[in-house]
Amino acid sequence: MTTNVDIVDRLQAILRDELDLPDLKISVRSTPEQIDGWDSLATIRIVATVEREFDRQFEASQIENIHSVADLISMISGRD
Amino acid sequence: MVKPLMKWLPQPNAKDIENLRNLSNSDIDIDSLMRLSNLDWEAGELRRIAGCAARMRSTVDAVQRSEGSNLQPIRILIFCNATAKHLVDALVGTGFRHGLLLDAMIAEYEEPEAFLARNRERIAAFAPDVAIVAFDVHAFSLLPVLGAAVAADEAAGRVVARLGAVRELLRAELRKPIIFQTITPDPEQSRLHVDRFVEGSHKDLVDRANSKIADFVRDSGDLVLDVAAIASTVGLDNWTSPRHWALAKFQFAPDMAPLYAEHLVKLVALRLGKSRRVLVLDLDNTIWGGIVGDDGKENLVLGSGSPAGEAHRAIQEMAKSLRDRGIVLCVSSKNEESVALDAFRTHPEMVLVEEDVAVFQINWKDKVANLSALSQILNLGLDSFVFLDDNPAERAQVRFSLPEVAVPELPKDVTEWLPVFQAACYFETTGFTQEDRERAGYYRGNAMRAAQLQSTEEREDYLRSLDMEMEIALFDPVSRRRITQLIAKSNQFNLTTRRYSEAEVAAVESDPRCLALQIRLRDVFGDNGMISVVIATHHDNSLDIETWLMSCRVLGRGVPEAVTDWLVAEAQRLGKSFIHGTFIPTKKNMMVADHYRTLGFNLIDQKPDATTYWRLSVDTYRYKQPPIRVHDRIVANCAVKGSF
Repeated sequence: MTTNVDIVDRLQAILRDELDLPDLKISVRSTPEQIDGWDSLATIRIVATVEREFDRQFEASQIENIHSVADLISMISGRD
Repeated sequence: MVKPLMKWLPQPNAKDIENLRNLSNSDIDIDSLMRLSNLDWEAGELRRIAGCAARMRSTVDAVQRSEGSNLQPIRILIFCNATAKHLVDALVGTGFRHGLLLDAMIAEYEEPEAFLARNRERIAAFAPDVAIVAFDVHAFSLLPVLGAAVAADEAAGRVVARLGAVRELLRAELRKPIIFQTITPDPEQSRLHVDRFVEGSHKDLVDRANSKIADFVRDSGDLVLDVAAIASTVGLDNWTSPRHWALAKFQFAPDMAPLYAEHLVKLVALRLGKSRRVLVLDLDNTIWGGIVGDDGKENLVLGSGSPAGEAHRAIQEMAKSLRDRGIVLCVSSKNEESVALDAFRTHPEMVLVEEDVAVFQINWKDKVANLSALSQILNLGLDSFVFLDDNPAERAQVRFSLPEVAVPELPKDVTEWLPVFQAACYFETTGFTQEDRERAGYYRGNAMRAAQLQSTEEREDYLRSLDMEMEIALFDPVSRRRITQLIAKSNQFNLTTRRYSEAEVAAVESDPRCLALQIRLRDVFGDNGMISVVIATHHDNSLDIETWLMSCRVLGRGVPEAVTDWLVAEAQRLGKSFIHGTFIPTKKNMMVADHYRTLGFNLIDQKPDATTYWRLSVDTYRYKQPPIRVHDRIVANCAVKGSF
């Protein structure tokens, strides 16, 4: 079973790539406001990669309401 | 997701992906950047390539290096009624594929009038070379006016009236060329069949608008990016993404950005005079099926009667129609010139005639040398060349050594080639004139049959990059049929043209006086299978080569050199002083007349029928050591036998 820790690790790798921040460290509580360059277009890129990596497709309303790493995790683990 | 998106570009392999990653961590090597940019990358990967452009612009040193390279800087200003910022990376990354160091300024969500008024100084500082009016269907009001022909025409008229106003404004403010776009239907609107003939349906309005856009740009010197055509190539529902329109006002699905960028950048490049003007065609298995030197003219697959024959003819028809558009046709083929030209001139199903071709390069040189020669003869840059060849190894060699040449990747099945080739839109131009029709003939008048050029310096590098592995084994029952077939089929690279039946092959196999070798070659493109056969006989102080033949597919790879190295080592092991070879000329095997001389043999005798006899002294031989790893199954077998 995939744990939250695994998901955070994989998300961290995705965010580092998509935001060009090789040293970025994230936690469940990280929010776009705290992270350089995480704007709405970056969210679309991040979601596209997350969808491919985790083989999921999210709804527009879910994507619109991503306000933290925790939101991404709950979308990925399907507890929304 | 449509994958592969651009089939005419090679798909990145694991090594390319690794190289792409390294690109972002190291100094920028423009050559490897250009090579990488020729692959079918996804949007996210183009972002990495685009990152290099930013770094190049940020360091003076890199700017100087880019000036030394063939990269031309160009700045584009995009006016978009929706979101466009996310397209910048795809555009910049794609720029490298077309020899451009591209920079983009984006005006999104805003009318051009307002943007220009607010940003005069910024725009002046940016100094755009080209403006793009990227308006999609949402920029206009094309709601159905069912059954109302006049209202439909007015609605379409309002589209070009709006574009006309933008054009006047941009002409006054920027005085730069403008690229407009056709529009695709709103995927949420009715798509009924009846809409095709009901005036004022959404479908009807979009068609009318596109037709008026075509009229609008025809005589103005502006260009049009036919987004409707791109969308129909991939399908409207792949092109658009309702979710991304709803979320972020993306005009089309984000994974389509590389395709959009490829088409737009190509039009932009036209503005710098960068266009493809030469199509270089291979002969064997490209404009006809089969290998003329081996199979003979009468057995070529061309014309009606078979799917492949019809496909090869269709390729010729495509080439002929390009010639009518002013594209210069050339031929580059590894063949005996007289044999290939005879087929070209006299095969009854040929569509192309000799006069269609400006320059023939029919020889045994590598294609890189031939393309460079063509470029000199025609006095046209290699960045105006497109090279069509069925052989993946030839394609890879040209891509590696001459990354500015466009080399379409082709499906295995020749019946699938043309749609891929056409989708690439290589020969885009700004218009069509009477001179275009006559241009191709002009080049032919100026051209001469070229002197063969020296092979390129990059040859060694290229051979190394093939990562070749050769396997040498004795004849065995499992391979008997393939050995017999290869002996029967090989006419060109065949020193003595001695034929052996399957029973004779079996006899050779078990004859202790014979050293009978089957040779296989693997490379990065896969397993070429058995490509060469050598049969030698043991004598007191020598090994005498009775038969040496090889498939022409692997010409110029260093296989004969590797085989000779092996033979010399084997002769030494057996305590022999010499290796003898014979060349018996035929109509088809002149390409190997100098085979033994090239390998370091001395001529010892010559008969009146031109048969030549050759000798190699084992003790003074200098090993050639081409970049091929040799797996010797024979020594391995001996070891096994010895342990029994």
